[in-house]
Amino acid sequence: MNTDIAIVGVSVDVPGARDLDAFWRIISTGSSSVRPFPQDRRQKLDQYIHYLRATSIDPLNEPDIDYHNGSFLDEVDTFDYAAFGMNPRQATLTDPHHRMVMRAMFLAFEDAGYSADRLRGSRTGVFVGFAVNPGSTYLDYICRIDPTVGQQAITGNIPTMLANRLSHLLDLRGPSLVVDTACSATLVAVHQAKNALLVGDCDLAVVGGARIVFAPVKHPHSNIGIESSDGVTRTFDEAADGTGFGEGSGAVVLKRMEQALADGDQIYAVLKGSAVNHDGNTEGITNPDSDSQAELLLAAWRNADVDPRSIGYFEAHGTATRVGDPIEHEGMKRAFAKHTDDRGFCAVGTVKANVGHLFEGSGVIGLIKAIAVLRNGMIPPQANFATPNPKLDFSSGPLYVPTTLRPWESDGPRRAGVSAFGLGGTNAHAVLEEHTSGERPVPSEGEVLVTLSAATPRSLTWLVERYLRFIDGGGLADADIADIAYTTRVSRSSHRHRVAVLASDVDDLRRGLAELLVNGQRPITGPLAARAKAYLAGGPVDSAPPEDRAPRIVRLPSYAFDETLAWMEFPDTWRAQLSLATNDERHPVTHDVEFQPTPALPRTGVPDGASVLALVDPDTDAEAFLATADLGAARVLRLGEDFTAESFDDVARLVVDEDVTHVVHALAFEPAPATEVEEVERRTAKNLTSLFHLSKALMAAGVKVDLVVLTRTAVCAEEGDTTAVTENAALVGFGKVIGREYPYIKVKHLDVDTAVPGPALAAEVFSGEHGLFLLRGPDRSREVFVEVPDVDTDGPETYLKPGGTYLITGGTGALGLAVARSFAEKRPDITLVLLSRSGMPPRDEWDDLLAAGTATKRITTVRDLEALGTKVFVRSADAGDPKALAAAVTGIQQDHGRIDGIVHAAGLPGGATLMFRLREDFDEVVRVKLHGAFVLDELTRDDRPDFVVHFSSVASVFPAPGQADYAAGNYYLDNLARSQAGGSCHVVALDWVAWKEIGMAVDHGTNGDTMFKALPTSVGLDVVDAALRSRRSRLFAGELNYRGELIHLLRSYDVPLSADIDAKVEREMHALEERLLKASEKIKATVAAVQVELKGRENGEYTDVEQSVAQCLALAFGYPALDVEADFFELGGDSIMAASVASTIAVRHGVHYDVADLLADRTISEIAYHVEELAEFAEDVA
Amino acid sequence: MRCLLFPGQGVQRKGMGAELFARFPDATALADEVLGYSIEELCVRDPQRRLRDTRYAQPAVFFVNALMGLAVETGHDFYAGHSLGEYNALVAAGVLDLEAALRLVRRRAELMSEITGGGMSAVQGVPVAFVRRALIETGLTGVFVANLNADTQTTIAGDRTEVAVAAKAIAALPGARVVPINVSGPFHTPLMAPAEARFREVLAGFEFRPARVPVVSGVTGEVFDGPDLLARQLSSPVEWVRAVTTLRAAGVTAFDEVNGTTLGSLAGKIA
Repeated sequence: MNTDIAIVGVSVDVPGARDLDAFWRIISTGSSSVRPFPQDRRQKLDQYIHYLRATSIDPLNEPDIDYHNGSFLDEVDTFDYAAFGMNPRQATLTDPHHRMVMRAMFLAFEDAGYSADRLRGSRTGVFVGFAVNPGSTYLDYICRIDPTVGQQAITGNIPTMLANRLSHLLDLRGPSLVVDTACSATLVAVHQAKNALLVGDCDLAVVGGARIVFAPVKHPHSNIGIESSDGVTRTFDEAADGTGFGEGSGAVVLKRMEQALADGDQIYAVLKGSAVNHDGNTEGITNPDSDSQAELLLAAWRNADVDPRSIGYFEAHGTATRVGDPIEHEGMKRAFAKHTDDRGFCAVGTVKANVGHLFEGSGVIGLIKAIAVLRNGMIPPQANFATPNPKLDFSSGPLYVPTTLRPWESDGPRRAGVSAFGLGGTNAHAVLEEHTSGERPVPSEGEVLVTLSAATPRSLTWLVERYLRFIDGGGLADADIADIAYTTRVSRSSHRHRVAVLASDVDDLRRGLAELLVNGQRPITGPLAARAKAYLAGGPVDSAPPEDRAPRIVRLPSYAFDETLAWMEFPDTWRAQLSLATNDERHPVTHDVEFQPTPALPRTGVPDGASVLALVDPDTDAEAFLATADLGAARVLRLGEDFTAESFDDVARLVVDEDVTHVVHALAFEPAPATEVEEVERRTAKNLTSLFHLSKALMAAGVKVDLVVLTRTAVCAEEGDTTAVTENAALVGFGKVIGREYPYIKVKHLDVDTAVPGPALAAEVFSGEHGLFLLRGPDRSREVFVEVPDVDTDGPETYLKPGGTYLITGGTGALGLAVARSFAEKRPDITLVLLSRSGMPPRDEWDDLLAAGTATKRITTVRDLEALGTKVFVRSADAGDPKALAAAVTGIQQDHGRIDGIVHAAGLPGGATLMFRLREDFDEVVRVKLHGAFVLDELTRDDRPDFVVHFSSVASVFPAPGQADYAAGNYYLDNLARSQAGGSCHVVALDWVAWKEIGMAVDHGTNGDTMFKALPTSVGLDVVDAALRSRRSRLFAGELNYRGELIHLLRSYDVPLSADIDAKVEREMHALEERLLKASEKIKATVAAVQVELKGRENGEYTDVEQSVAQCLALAFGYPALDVEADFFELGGDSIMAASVASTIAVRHGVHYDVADLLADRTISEIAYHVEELAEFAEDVA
Repeated sequence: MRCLLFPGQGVQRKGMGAELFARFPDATALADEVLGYSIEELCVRDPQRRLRDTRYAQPAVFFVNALMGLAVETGHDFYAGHSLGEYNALVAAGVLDLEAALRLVRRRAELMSEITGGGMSAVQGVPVAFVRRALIETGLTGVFVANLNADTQTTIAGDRTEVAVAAKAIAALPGARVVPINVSGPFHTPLMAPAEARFREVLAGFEFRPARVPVVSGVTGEVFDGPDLLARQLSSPVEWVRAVTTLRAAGVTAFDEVNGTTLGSLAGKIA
């Protein structure tokens, strides 16, 4: 099998040379392009460097920035986005390396005779050598300017897209990959491509790389030790002190030799063979090794099957370092010595001396240099070489360093070798041979159609000018017009803007092209007229080989890119914009709700129009108590326990028909707490359920009414008051939610004792204040939300006893397991009983379940706890089912004796708002908390545990819509703990905000920061610990999110805030308003600065709103001109962008405009129409 | 049992029905003649952007609905339509022929478009009772509930300025979202009374045959029982929730729909 690989296309772009001819001029004259970092690029970077220095943790206070010298490109900030199917914004957000690789590969394909059309769907491989280097990346740079672009910029900046984008754009189906072996990367990529072609992974391959030095700032600590002091690379010279930075890009196109010959390709050189190896375990990972380099050469020669004596030119890696050069020289000597004793027959040089070191890109640049040397048949002088390094004994070896340009005499085909070594030890070597084509093409006869195209009209003009110059310079002297026509057809004709010329020879072509420039496209007549017409109309281009002659690709001028600025400018106002001051004010995690005295209300009569309807339980004193107050002509409805939901529809109808203004729910008026669960059942079914039905019915009727929920000493006014009728306090939590869902029912909860004077009660019923009021005789108090900056841990130091038994309900839930773990870690020699509805699978199934990924958290936690030495038992029971819970608790007591502590963490989340809540679902949520806690107390009444922790919720203070049941159950827990304060058993309720990492809120996706910051697990567990070491009966656990956009909501509850909290809320609300205002002003200013021209309408008239919408779109896409009917998606928009574009449009025009609107409107004209509608609507409101 | 639903104004999109006009050349020619312009150009290309205008939007939606109705499988046990869509339901049930219905729709659209200065907004996320209460609390007299589309989807309509003010008040309800709808008139409110009176005269000149298949009316939420409902429709709210509830009670378990999926999705939001 012929394993030769033909190199059929080349592109190169380095400082001073944008094509192979110019590149050869640099090499053949021994020139070096080292210079200071260009002024223009320096200016663009200075502020960024200052910014980096000023904002590093250890700021560097150096006013001057010193840049390295090197072989730098003039500009790296431009790109022809249209040629690569991008929009200007995308181009701007794309790393210059990506843009350069795309450009290099595009040009190499074109040179090889391939247009996008000819490539589409082909089995072509893309191989890129690249590494992200230390220091700044473009992504880092643009994200510093605008952190919000990160997501959008991903595809333009992650290395894999270097290869993938091109494969995607051109629909290439071969391997597409990026090789990172540091400085040998592109040569290793050549080796990979060769192998891929030989094993049949692809039929064509492009290999390339690019390198720029983003910010070549000189800094004593940032060098890696190979940099030349003055940027000049002096390989093999006595004065060599390192390598200089080089920039540029290069690419080659490879094809199996037989196929290339059959296709009539222009073959620059033949890749005979190659090898890749690694240094292995050398002294240090960065040290090169002459033995493995010698092995590499021997392997490559074997692979190429050539006699090393026939190699006349050696392109060395040659980094010009004191360590590297002698090692490389030694390796070459040793390898040649295995085959020949001849001396001084092989010239050695390196292109790094001419154009600097392109790191990952250097391999392919060396390869292209060797190609140029072979093609020209001349040995070029080594640049920057004056005095040989005395450590390199050239005279005794096969190599010599050429100092002048001279012809390369050779008996057989000229051969060359190319080396590249990567930092870290991966080495590559390739063996090339010249290709001489004996045949001259048969001259063609007759006229042919020469077609050219470009992505923009400007490119097309430049291209035609390029052809004229090329012809005038003799570039087509040896080419046949038929081959020119074929080459342009298959490689240069698939762009949008097109021209065609009829020509019978090159002179003819020149005339035709010159005329095109002056007069534009003329109609083409004759036999080719139809083809020309179809082509010019944008029809598909036929890339089939000619029928009448062998196909032959000839060398033609390369594409003329229409490049525009594609660079994010670093704002020189950064100092002003950057607020280096930080606000590290700390806020406590723990809070409490206190009952604070509040002045009694003035006593007034019955207001005009007031009409009271009271619902009472005839088995209580409620009616008599209400009778002490003058409530006007109040109606009293005596409700027993046998009501239905429909009963309350009748109540609501009455409210509507009789214009009732105040409904008093006075059913929960029992004087003493229930002592048995059956009584709890009865009371909740009567009191809480009636309030549930009543609220629903009133809402469904759409009434506006004051709802007074009257309870009798249900709320524990003083800590430790065991006479509180705690179960009736669930109504407090419930009542807090009604107004959150339906603001036309204003709720006030009056918790009274019977010593409240009648007139005071009347004043309360009719007052305009809402919320919870405790009335005890003449005293009045209400809830106030306060900070608890420090939890007094004046309780027991240790609350877990050796050998103790601790029960956790909800024990296999995430919070339960976390508490279990924290207990076991504090004291491993305890027994933990985890109670949960779901329980635990049998132990013999655990391994299988773990393997299947089911119930893993539960199983691994239990195993971890057992590994600590803790005894763990899991019991299955529903905490909301008193019988089942009682059986479980009794069982625990039988098995383990006394329960020493209980954590009641069981809970079900609330679901729907009251209007849509089903009674069964409502009850279930309440029961787990309320009935569960009651039963736990009841069964441990005779032998109280050391502690009981009730997991309550933020919902009992600041509930959200849909949490009526949850708030009711949790308020009960808070109140229960309060009534049991000071007893032998430490009972504490913890009102949790959402936990951030685990638990119910995570399961329901509500674990974000809202009014409160979501609670990290470790902080939550610390609160549990602190609470248990304190004597508190309650802690509200959650840090207020003062900087959040929802903080204002805290004031919308009928729970007064302490003065310090209120002041902070006030301050942060103002600060937020200012931030939002500034942000929107910034957006408006940015949009206003966008220059964009509208087009697409015949009369050229556009509305102001169309203009401003266009500015918003141009800001997103970067186009200088936009069609008023252009589609958002066709402009390059995607759903990610849509959100930000819609938000810009909304802010700019001061209307509510969201992503759904944008996705429906899609064009500037439709968006503008919609925005105008919205603006008029907004005006109507104002 | 199955019911076929026809949507009303609001579903119009440039390009709608594009593949149907060629399939039904006779009906299309008839429409062109009745309307005096090319229905296909209006629906597919709309170069003058007339689909934004009630006068054109109604015949366009009606006609595309009708062609789609012809194109789908028949054999439904009930028909119903939302507002304008009722005309399609009546055609499908044999109460009106296509030409008569098209003439009525054209006239209806003209009369409706003559009442200007109106506005409409969709309210989502809260029950209609909440919306009614919020409207009462605003104290405004020129804004009404116009469509009861689903349990928590309602539209309000009325005087343009008052609708805007009411919308702001309703938007303050927890969970409520209010989105303005682009129509010119206070459709389905008492402010349409002048159009109703004139349309009643128009209806008198048309013949209504008995329905082959029952049609459930969005005016009453009951089975269609006479042409006057079409006059009352202009100033009465669309009782879509009631209509769907009636259909379900009659045994309908599946709703099919032409020209979009709006109504089916609304039905899914009716308990």
